[in-house]
Amino acid sequence: MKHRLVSIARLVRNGPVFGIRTKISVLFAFAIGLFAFLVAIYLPQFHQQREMKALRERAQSISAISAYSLSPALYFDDATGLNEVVDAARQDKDIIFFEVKNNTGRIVALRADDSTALGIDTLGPGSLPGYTLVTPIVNRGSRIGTLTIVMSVAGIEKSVSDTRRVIAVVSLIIFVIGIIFGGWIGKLITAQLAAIAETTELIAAGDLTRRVPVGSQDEVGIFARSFNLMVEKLGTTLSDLADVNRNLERRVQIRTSELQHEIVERRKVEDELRKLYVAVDQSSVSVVITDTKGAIEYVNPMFTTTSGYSKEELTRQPISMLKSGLTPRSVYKHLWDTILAGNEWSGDLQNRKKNGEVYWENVTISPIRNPDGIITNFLAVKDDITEKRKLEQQLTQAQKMESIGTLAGGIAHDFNNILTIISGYASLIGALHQDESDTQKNVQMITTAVDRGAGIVRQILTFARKTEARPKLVEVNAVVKELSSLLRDTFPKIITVALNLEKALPRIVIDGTQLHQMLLNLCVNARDAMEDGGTLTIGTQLAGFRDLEPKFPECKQVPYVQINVCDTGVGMSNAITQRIFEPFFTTKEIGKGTGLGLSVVYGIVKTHGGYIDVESTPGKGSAFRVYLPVQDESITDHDQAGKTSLTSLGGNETILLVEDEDGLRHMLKASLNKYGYTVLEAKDGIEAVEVFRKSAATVDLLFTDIGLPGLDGFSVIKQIRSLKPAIKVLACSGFLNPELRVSLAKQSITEFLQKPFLPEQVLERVRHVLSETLA
Amino acid sequence: MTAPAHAQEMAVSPEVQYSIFVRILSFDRTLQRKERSKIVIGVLYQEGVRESLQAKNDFLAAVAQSNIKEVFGRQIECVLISATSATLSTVGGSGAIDVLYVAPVRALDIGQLVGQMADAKILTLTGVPDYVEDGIAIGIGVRGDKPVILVNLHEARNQGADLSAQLLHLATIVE
Repeated sequence: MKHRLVSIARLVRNGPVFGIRTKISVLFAFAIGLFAFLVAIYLPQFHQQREMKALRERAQSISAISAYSLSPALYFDDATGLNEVVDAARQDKDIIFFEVKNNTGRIVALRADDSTALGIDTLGPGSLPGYTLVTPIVNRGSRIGTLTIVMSVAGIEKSVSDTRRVIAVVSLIIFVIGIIFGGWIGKLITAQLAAIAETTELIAAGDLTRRVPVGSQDEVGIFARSFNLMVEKLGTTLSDLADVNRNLERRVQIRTSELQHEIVERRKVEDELRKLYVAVDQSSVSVVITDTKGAIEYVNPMFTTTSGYSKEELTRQPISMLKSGLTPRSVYKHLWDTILAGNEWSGDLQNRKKNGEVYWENVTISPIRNPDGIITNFLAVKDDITEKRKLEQQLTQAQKMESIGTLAGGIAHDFNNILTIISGYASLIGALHQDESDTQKNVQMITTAVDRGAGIVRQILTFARKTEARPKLVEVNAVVKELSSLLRDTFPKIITVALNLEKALPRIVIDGTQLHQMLLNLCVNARDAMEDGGTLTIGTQLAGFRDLEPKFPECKQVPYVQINVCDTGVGMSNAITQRIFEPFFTTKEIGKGTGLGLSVVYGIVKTHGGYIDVESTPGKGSAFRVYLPVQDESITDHDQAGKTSLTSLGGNETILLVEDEDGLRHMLKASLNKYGYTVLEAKDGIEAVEVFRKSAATVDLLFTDIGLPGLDGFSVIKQIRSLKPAIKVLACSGFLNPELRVSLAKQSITEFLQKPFLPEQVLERVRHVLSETLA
Repeated sequence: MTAPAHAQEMAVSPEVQYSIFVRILSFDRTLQRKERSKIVIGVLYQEGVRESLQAKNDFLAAVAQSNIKEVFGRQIECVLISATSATLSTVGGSGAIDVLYVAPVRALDIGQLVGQMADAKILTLTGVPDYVEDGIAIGIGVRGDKPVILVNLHEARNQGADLSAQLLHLATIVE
């Protein structure tokens, strides 16, 4: 800016190529020249026209007066009068021709210059150089002749010519004066401007004390004064501006600090918003925002994944498009009534995906309000709980099965006691009446019936996992192959048995007999489902626990051997599938099945810490999948436990018998007494401890039931051992499951007798425990 | 040849006649061109005719009383001429008068008089309009209540008058 001002000042001072001075000079010269040119052109013309007009008027006046004067002279043929008028007219030197004719055309008077008079007859007035005017001469209303006059224009031409010369000279003089004057004016103006420019340079450089010299009272002088006033105000303004600037800087600093703080806060908010957005966008739950009419405005990716619809397909669409028709209308009515009232609604809905699949979702809908408290939107947070629902269903099923198992186990326990009593007394009757064949036959019938009953009880107990398993390391594939041979031989030929076994399958710890029974039951079930033939496929594979977790969240983090038994039979409905493992549930005709086959399978699987599920489609077949955990192979093989052979069933030791079932207790006492043992009785745990306190020194063996009222068998054993650590213990129970086995092991109870049992079995085991102890 | 004149009534008074005649005379270029120091007006009358005497007296009184005493810068002078045959013949040949004023007369041959004046190139004037038709060159008549100049142009030019057309334009030409 400064550099530019300096350049302008230098230009003004030195005179630019086409500066104001030059411009003014040229403008003056041009204006004056133009004026002179126009004057030179117009003025002679004007002068000539004015002269001509005057000439015409004079000619007309002279002609009119002359005609009037000539009228009586011509009328009265007054030659003297005519000549007088002609002579009078000739006094005007501009009249170079004066002719009077009478009505006959005869010239009665004529005056002409010498130069034209000679040719007057031939040339006539029309050829004369001048203004010609012909006027009629009238007397008493009648035309009596004509007057023709010619006025000379030579004088006018000369006058015009003289005027032109004068104007030319004057114009030239004015032109020269104009140039000189223009230059002088330009210099006068630019001189002051140069002074202003120089002062401006100094002011621009920062010297506000400088003032432009005021040299005149004209516009430039006014400008200079105004400029000085402006500089003065500028100085004041700059001073004020500096104050304002300092104040502004201080405020800017404060504001900057505030803004920085705001920026930090805003960034925090933005960060939180971004996190919130990312959280919503990447949330594992679905988020939907609708307007108050239910039109969708926003969905997060999880929702599009769940529903199968794209964002574009959902936006502006009613949320009701997801309805499956399975959720009662009353639920939706309650939902809308709740959220429109401004409250939050939570509940489960069954909606339909784009592919038609129905899914469960847990929905929480909250109203979104604007600052005025008016509801503008609804926020729905949805969680796909389809799998959870399935698990709940499985859990319910498992609980139901557990309850049934508990119930069945309890019944079986009591039933075992009853059978044991019947069996025991039948045995006693048989021993007392060995010579009576009918009695022996009846006893045999009773024994057979008891065996059948015991078999059913065993199956129930197996289902209820109350049977004692004898786990050992087993190669599943070997069992499957052995079973498949049996199946091919025994199953109808219209059924094809196929194997799909995974090689290098790890061994699992399982009761081989129970594994065999489990597979057999599944295969029989498959056979019964394929009366018209089909394919039975038994497959094995290794499954990781992660494969099971979605279905069985409580599964252990160990590999599992998966056994698949698939058929192409009639399949089952969902309702049947839900109840397939319940004991005594069967779809077969009465007498064709006990309804315990799949219950036993379920019990065996659960006994070994495994899982089972079934997938079935009516008309297409069923697939049972059994998952059995792969355990440490170091587990002691139950079969490895040694057995002691008994040489004698009787003895003279004292036995404390603890049994709450009176019949059974009496039967056992009788049997033991019969074989020489002294039996002390107790009908519950408390009584047992009291009896033992009184006879602790004499008691050699504690023979106790585990399931006792009041104080259970474990507690009795514990207390009596505290009184007599060396006491030997034989425990019995109607069932033996792995948990019970663990409990026995913890109490170092190695001898166990499972109900129902025969008196001989009791005697043999009692003798075994006592002999082992003695040894 | 005209019949002898009878005394006629004059249309206007001799004072008016004089003032008009003086102005008419200024339009006669012949009179202007004459190199005489005076302009002499002869007043012709008849002694025995009362109207003529009255006219003569009144005319002279008008000349005496008028402010206009000169024409062309020359003094106007009147001379009386009694109308007899002898005087009439001498008047024409003497050249003593420049203009002849004819008062009302009786039994005077106007035509003869006019012929004599034409020969002598003396312009004749009269206050009796009818005499203009008889050959007197200029007379004063009346139209309505305004006097009118009567000019017998032929006789006037015969009597040597060179009257301006301006005058003729104002006068009534009698043929």
